[in-house]
Amino acid sequence: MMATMEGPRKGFIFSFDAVFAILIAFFLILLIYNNILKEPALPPVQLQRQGMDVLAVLENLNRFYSPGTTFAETSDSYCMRLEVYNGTSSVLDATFVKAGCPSADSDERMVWRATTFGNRFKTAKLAIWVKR
Amino acid sequence: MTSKFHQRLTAKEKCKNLGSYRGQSFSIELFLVSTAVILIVIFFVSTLAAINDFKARGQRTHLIAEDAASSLMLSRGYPFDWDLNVSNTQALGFALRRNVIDQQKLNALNATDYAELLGLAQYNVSINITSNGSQLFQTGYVNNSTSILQVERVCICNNSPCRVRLQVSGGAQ
Repeated sequence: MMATMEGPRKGFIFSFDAVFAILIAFFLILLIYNNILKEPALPPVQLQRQGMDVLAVLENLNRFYSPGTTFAETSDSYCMRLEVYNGTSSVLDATFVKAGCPSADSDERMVWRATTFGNRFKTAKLAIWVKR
Repeated sequence: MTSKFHQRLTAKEKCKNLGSYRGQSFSIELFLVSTAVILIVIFFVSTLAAINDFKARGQRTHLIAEDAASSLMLSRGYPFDWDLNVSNTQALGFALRRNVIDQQKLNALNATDYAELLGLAQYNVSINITSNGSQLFQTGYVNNSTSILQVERVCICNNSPCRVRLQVSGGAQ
């Protein structure tokens, strides 16, 4: 009786041990593969830099109301949306979205610039994010 | 009786011996398993370290390339009129003002050791400028057999928006 009780118990402990070992090995392998496959996230400062470039170009060319050609010169992996406000008010004057991009993203970064357009004070807000 | 007692003693001895064998085998097993676990942990840790080291080197190259692109796009270089005497160039930059390219400095770029001046001497470097899909400027080459790292910036050339593409390949990536 004792011998028959001992048998299954030993088996159970052995199986549990094996499952535990396989789980640990699987976890470690997953950790390594995750490290290999994981694309390094684009640093936010890089997005900020791209946004600053776009606003500098738009300001120099005075093209806050026709940013399409400037947007087209940015990398395909970036999406952006330009909002132009009258003065410092929150009244939106115009919105432009880069072709082929959605109008917003949860991970967008903001770059602001105050400028003049036709002797009127304007505030340009550029939202930039990585295309998914 | 004597033989029964003798038999009992023998059984006890057997048990005792079995116990000592069990203990010994457990110690050997423990030693083997511990060694195996330590070796496996060392293997995984060193593999992770090697992967992270490889990635860090790639990121370092990317940072150097990003800084090089920024210096080209945002600064005039040093001395400011380096295009007039390229042999005296200490820092490169072809910005007339922020993100606006000075055509004269761009033309003088080929006369300089630009890879060295940008801190990318150990890499193959290519600088390409396009506007609306047309190529405006091209210098250097990148080796296609190795991974190519690319930094793109928007700028103004001849009063039109253009794209500066700095490509880096080879070296200690």
